Amino acid sequence: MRLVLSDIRMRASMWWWTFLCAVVGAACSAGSVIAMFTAVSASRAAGDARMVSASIALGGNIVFFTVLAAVGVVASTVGLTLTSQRRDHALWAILGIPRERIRSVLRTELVVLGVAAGALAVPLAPLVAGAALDQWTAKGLDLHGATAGFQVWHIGVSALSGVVPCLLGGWGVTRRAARTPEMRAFRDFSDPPARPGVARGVLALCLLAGVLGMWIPGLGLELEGGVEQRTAFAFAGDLFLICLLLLMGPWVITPLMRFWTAIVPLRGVAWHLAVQACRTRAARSVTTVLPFALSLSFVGLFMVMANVMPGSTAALDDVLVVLGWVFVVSWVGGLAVIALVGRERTRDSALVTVAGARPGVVARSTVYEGVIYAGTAVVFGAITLAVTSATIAAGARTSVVRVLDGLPWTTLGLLAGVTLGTTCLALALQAARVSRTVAARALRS
Amino acid sequence: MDFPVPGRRRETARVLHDIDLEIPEGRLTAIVGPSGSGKSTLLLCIAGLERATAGSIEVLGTDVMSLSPRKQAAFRSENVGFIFQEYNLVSSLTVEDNIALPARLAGRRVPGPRVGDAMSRLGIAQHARRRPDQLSGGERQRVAVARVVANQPRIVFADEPTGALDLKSGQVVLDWLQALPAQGTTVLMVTHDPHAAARADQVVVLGSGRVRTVIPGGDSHAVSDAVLAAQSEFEAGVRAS
Repeated sequence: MRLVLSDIRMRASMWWWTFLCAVVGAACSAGSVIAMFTAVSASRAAGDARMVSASIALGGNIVFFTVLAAVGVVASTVGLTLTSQRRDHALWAILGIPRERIRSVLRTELVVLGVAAGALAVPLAPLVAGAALDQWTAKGLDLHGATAGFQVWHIGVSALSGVVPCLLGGWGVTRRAARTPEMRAFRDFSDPPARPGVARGVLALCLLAGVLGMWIPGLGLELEGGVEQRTAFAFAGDLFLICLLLLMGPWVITPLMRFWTAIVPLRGVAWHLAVQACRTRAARSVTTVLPFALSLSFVGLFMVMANVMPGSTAALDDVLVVLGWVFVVSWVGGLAVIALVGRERTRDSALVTVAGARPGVVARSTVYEGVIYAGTAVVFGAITLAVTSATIAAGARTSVVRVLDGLPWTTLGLLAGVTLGTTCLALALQAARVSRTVAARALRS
Repeated sequence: MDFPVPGRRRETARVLHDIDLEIPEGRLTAIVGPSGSGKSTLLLCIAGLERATAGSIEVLGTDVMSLSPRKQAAFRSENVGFIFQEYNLVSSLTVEDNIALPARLAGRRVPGPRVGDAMSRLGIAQHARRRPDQLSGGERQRVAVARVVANQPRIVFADEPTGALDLKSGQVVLDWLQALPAQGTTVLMVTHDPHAAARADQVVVLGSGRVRTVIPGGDSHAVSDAVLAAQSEFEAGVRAS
């Protein structure tokens, strides 16, 4: 335990970002769970069976998506934090600490982190739940005056919401970290090409089966439930597809990023440096893009669905009812990842400065990295939007043009702009920090 | 040259005193001295990477301390080459891109054949498309030398260029540094190794931030003796204070 605490203390500045993601993820997940159970119990007490099932359906969706986003984001930040400490882990192995012990130390660190995040989420979760209940009421759900006052079980939900994403997200990462080759302590090895691994492969196959299993009836069969049922199947297939693409991020997002950056006609040295940095550190780039790609593609899917379903609207605030907390978790995660990887830039920036880069070249190249991250997320979102529009239109027996025509393009454009602005601003702040570093000292440290 | 003392906000430590030094153009000059004597700081000050707190530094007839950051960057990309002990290369760029970087930063292109020729001469042509983390320490250092060979800067600053290399790789790097003055390039090299320093045309011996002596190169024993004398003087000074 002493090693666990001293390691966390030593790496506090890095763990801080994972902790922030875990706290936000725990608060949003626990808040969604609390909101769902509060709405269900209030509806039950009022004997309103219709509202009970509505609360379960809506709350269940929100909990599912929020927990999914929290696990994804925490996994990314834990992965980055532990990857940056591989040299230390190799040194532990050299000093004679058995690999199982290294693994258990790292997992204990995650549990400590999760418990602390859960504890901080205890006062935040009721606030999230209160906001969610207000949102549902504003959208016309009669929750019979349900309010999210503090109850003892909230502590358990918050603790679980803190620990579960940390463990789920960090399980594989800690296993890999404990297997770090000893030579890593002495030499800078390049990362071997990423391979899907058994767990990811099995999950991907399951998701692919889900895509086909939903698309075949949704797009190809006549169902008793008619167009609505077909559309629902198409929607479920699209949801599985987006999850599959995000799960296979390194093999989807990296080629996408390579492709669109290759066709951009910019030839300046700052752009060249940014493109090369994003391509070289593909794992880092995928981790940065993932939270933004996740939120943009989910928003697109929900807007397409809302556009074809009779009587529903595709306004942003409707989508935010289901995906609002996903947005919060993803955006915090994306910014945390940018902050985490910023540390790697100092030395390369110093070298470019020493080689004679004019003032502003390094800063521009850093901001261009933000453009590349946001651009990749937007391109990913656009592709998933096109696929979901085509499939849902086929399911709903309507034309793709009509579906695309009904989408709120201004809102979607605004979201893409916010993504671009957020990543560029976060990286501009880093560029300002790097510009204050004396190049010679960065190279000697 | 004063540096802030870490942890003591208002205190500074003076690391270089009364330096009055002329480095001959088109020659290889080595700076030697005990650890902490200020060798690397002196080199970085001359290169304009550290700002001296007093005095003036003229490189190739230009007062580098009076240059604006923009002009300093332009001066470096056009006239200066660097070789450090480690971390010489931008990790995200290939060998080829690293070699062409200074010219690209200066807004011009190094002709492809010249990059190829430099790589061939240094025996790293087969690694052109590799990134630094796929190379050994010796290969990385050869890339740094190839960058200098291809860009033909007027002055090269080398900070412990052989410090992390095996004997053979170290000899290759030193051979190239010794050959550069023949093309008119001035080389200023900081080293701990008396044998490396002895290959220079002149050797500047530093001790506790001052120039103790300047001796001609060629004799590694003389270099060792001068460094030991500088260290003894420093230790005697510490004991006396």
